[in-house]
Amino acid sequence: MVESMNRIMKELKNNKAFNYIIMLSAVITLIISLMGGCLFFFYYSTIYDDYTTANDEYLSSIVNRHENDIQIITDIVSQIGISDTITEFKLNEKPLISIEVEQQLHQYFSVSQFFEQIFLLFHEDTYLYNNSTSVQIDRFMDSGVVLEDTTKEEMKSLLYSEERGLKVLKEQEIKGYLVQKYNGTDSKAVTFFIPIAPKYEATVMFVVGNSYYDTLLASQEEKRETYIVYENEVIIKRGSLEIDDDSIVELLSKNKEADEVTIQNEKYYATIQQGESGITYCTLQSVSVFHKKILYNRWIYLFFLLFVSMPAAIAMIILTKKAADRVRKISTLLNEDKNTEYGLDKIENGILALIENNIEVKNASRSLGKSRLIGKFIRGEYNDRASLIEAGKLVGLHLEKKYFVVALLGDRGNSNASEVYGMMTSKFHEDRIIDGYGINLVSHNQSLLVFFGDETEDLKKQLKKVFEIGKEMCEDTIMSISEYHTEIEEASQAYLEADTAFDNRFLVDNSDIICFADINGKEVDNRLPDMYMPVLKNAIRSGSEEKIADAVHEICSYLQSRQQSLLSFRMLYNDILQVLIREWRPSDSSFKHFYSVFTLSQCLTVKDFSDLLCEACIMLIGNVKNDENTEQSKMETAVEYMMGHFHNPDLTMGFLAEYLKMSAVTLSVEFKNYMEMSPSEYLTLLRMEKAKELLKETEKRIKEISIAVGYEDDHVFMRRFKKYTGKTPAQFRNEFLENNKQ
Amino acid sequence: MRRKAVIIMLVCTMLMMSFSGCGKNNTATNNSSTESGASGTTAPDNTTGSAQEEQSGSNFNETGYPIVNESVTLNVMLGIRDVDSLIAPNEMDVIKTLEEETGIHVEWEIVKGSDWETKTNLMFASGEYPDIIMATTSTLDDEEYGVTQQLVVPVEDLIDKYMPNYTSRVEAETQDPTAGLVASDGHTYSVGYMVGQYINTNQHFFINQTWLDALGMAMPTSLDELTAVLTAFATQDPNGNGENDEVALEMGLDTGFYSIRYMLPMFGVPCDPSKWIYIDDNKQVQLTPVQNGFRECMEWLHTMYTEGILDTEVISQDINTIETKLKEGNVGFFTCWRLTAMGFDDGVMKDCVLYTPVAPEGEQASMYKLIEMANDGAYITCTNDKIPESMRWLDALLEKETMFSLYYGPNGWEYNAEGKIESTTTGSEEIKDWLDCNTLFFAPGSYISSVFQMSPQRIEKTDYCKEYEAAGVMQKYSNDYLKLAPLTSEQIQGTVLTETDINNAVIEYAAKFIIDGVTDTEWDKFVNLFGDMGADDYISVYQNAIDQLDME
Repeated sequence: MVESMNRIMKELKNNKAFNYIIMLSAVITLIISLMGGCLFFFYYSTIYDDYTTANDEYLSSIVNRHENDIQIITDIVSQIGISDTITEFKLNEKPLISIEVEQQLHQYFSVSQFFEQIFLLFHEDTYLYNNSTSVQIDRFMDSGVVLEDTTKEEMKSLLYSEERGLKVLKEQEIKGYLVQKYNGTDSKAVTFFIPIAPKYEATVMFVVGNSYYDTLLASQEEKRETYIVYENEVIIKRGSLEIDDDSIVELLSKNKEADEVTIQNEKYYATIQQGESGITYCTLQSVSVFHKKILYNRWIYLFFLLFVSMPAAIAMIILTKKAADRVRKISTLLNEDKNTEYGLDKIENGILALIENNIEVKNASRSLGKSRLIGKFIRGEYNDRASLIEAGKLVGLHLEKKYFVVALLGDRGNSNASEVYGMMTSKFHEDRIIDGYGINLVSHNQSLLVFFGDETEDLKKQLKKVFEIGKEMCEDTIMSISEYHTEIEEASQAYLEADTAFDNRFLVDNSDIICFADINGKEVDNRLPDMYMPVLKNAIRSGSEEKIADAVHEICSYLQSRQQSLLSFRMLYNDILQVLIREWRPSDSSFKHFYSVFTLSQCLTVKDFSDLLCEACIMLIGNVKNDENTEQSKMETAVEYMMGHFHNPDLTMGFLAEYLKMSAVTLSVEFKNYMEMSPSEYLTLLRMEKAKELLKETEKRIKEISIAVGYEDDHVFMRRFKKYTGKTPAQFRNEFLENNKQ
Repeated sequence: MRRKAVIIMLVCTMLMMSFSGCGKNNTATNNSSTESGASGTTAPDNTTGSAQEEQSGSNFNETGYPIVNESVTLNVMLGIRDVDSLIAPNEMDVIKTLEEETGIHVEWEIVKGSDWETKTNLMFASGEYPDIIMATTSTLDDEEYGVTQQLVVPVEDLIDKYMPNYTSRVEAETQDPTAGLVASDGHTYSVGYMVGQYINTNQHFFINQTWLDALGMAMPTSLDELTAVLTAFATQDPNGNGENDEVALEMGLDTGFYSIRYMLPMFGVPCDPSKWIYIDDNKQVQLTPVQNGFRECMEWLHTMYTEGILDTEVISQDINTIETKLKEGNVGFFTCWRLTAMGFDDGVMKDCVLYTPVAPEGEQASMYKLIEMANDGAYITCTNDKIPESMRWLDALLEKETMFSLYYGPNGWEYNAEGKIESTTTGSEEIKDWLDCNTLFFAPGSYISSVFQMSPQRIEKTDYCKEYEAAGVMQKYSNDYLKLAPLTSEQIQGTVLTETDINNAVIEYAAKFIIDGVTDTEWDKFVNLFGDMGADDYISVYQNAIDQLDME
């Protein structure tokens, strides 16, 4: 048993869980102690309040009853005082009044629940009266009412006193034929003397038996004593404490309110109340009763504490368990091994590992970012140098250089491309004179590298280095480069240059870097006349595939007629695509991928080009419809209106402006921003196109066509047409018909 | 039609049968009795008695003990005083002995005095009655339960037949002590209870002999002499303490035996404790307060008062104060019940002696004569089917030694040197194993004084009574005949109210007369009060009642 205990202890000690358990226990104990402390305080004060309130209520009920009864006897005395029938008399002079007196006293006597006897004395006379008899004063004091602790002289002086105010004789043995016959079993009584106002020549005496006080001051509780005190004398007391009267009187002279007092080395709680009659009431209860109550009720308190602390402890445990679980989870996450040891240093190690991991990932993502940047750059997605530099900073490339050059690396076989890569890129990364990155064109089996530098010489050197590294790896390595460009917009062009140079690898010596500048002498005229693009745009906007096909065909024909080279074709098409992309910004990323300069580089025939362009334009149709730029809605309205009403010769800009509820100036500015041409130019375009259509497909006379497209004057129409197409309407028609015959 | 008639007849018969309870028609009546619905007369009761007799048969012995050969059980309801704590009667040795002797077993139902009225009401309402009801320390309304409802049976003939002890004691008296038990229909419904005192009057006059001797005066023999003596008492300091603190004449207004009313006999008006009417020598009922003697008495008392002979506190003091004064002893003349066993030992008992009252000139003192009357003791209920046994059993209770054993306890008495029974009880037992005064006790005056050693206070009074009798100062016809006069319940109710009114008026005026004196106008006013109270009717009711009596 002990062994296994030791074993467990040892295991626990080894296990960090032991510490954890200790800590947990300590925390729980602390919390419970705090709660316990608060509860105890609350408990203590509640019990104390109960204790004091019980005392208060006990005393209050006594005071109320007794004061009430004192008031009753005071009222009786007042009534006697103002009574007409009971007036001062001497028995031997007006004896008949005695009958009245006795009758009146009998009334008070018979209903009284307070006093046992009532005696009336007129100071002038020597006779007292009660409810049934007269008594001569000497006989009264000798044998009528005899008090043990009061001498006859004292009693006489009280009876004959002319002082105002209540007088009380404390509880004492009472004997005498007047009280023995009448009183029940009371052997003791308290006597009250009340003089009759206002003359104070008569006194009424009340005898209150001890049974009244036995009931009044009865208490079930132990260690309590209640005192009724008047004029510094304890009149009556009931209880189980043994405190001498002097202490009580002393206490009452000092205290007026409820308080804890110490008498004869014992602690008591004293409740004191003053009655209106001038009588003071005091009850003392030993504080031990209160302590007993606390002890007695402690089970309630403990039970309550348990009751409250149980859920608290459980909650604590659950919470710590949850936290521990989290810690364990983190630990397990960080450590691959499912070792249940979860110490904080393990976590620390894990976190460090995570951080390292993070850096690696960051680096990796950086590399990815760099590749992306290069790709975007080549595709021409950076509109200006600033955004390129910004993007470069994000991925750790310093591209604020003057020149850039595109290089293509090709090889047979893909031996450890990434390794080669790493070597190449790290090289110049350290130098900082040159910066750049590369991407892998899997479809072309090439690596595309872009280098940025401030001096072309630096770039040349770099390229040379890279080529040498490549050659070391693989003998068949081929490298072609573009010209040194400064404009960002020429990135696609640079790629195409490099691509063209690469294509010429069979024609030149490829043991050296193939430069585009060497192989191409022809000047590239890659400008498309102005009218072709708007037509194409319009076709896209109209949403008609036929129109797109026609526009594309026209562009191709023009380019063919100009006998452009493959490169210029490609570059031109790239430009066109860029324009379209910029115009409609298709969000579909697959569009960007598909219709990029890389796909262009795969186009070899004119048909390839025209198919590609058609497809792209058709895809963009969808975008047109989705484009809900509300800012341009007015313009759309304008365009729509024009498309619907261009045949109306009265359609002027002023009319259009009015229709759109804007000024002619605003209209012309907005329209130009939107369509890149002025409203009148667009109107002309619409009309000319319609005219072309009509010329091709109908046999209408030119004059008719002129009117149909909105020109009232056919001379104006013919002039405009020639300006637009370069041919007269008749020539155009004839050429078309001839072409179609073939 | 026929069926209807039959049904109606059956219903009628049932109704008639249900009306005949144990009330008007005595269901125990045998078949031969054809009378129906008559109020109680002697005829059915006689048949009842004889019928029961026939049924008793051979078990019952008319004389001698045992009363029955085979044990018979009687149910007895016994009322006891609230202060009594008794063991179960059947546990008492006395009762056990009685049972052995008589052969009658008794099932007791003990009822405390405070519950008596409730219990008896319930019992009579329930229809289940015991055999015997013993109301020795309580009472039962014989008019109601006997005369009216006939729930208890007349017993006068049964007594004659079965109770020799009882009968002999009755006959030994000069005046029939059971006369007061006769109801308005002439029947007696209860066996009497009587603890005789052997007295013929209750209050007596006393005078301070010591003072007489001190002043060297003779016992007064006339009212004037008495007045002189009393004056001397008041003025000549007979107690020799140098102060005129003597109370020559002591009495109270309405203070029991010390009341002013007991002065009236000295003036020829035999006033009794309860009523303000009396029977004069001509068998006429007179109203006390309107008598000349009353006026004279008041005038005399007034004189006594004004001269300071009568206690100043006469109208203000109560009985306790008077008794306190008598205990002190500084009194010259007063009336009371007796001196012994009153606590007067250190007071008036030392100094005072009986005074035989003397009336003013030309008049005769007339003391109220008391006829000792039996109270109601035991009743027989109408469902008792063992009446002879019951009567004999009751008489067995009265056998001398049994009776005293039941009263004082088997060890509470002994024969003294004169062969008389003397009581030895200390009266200190908490729980008694005898019935005490709750038992059926019948011992009229002369009987009891012959067999029982009367206590000193009894003897004292007997002596006084003999003296007054010899002096001829007793009234001729006892006022107690007024009590004996059989009044119906209604009449009694009426008289009670008138009596209260008369009493209040008399007391009120008496006080005034004593203090202020008697003027003719006041006297006439006083006398005329009683006419308005219906006093004449009150008197005539009693007059008619006593006219029917045979007064001795």
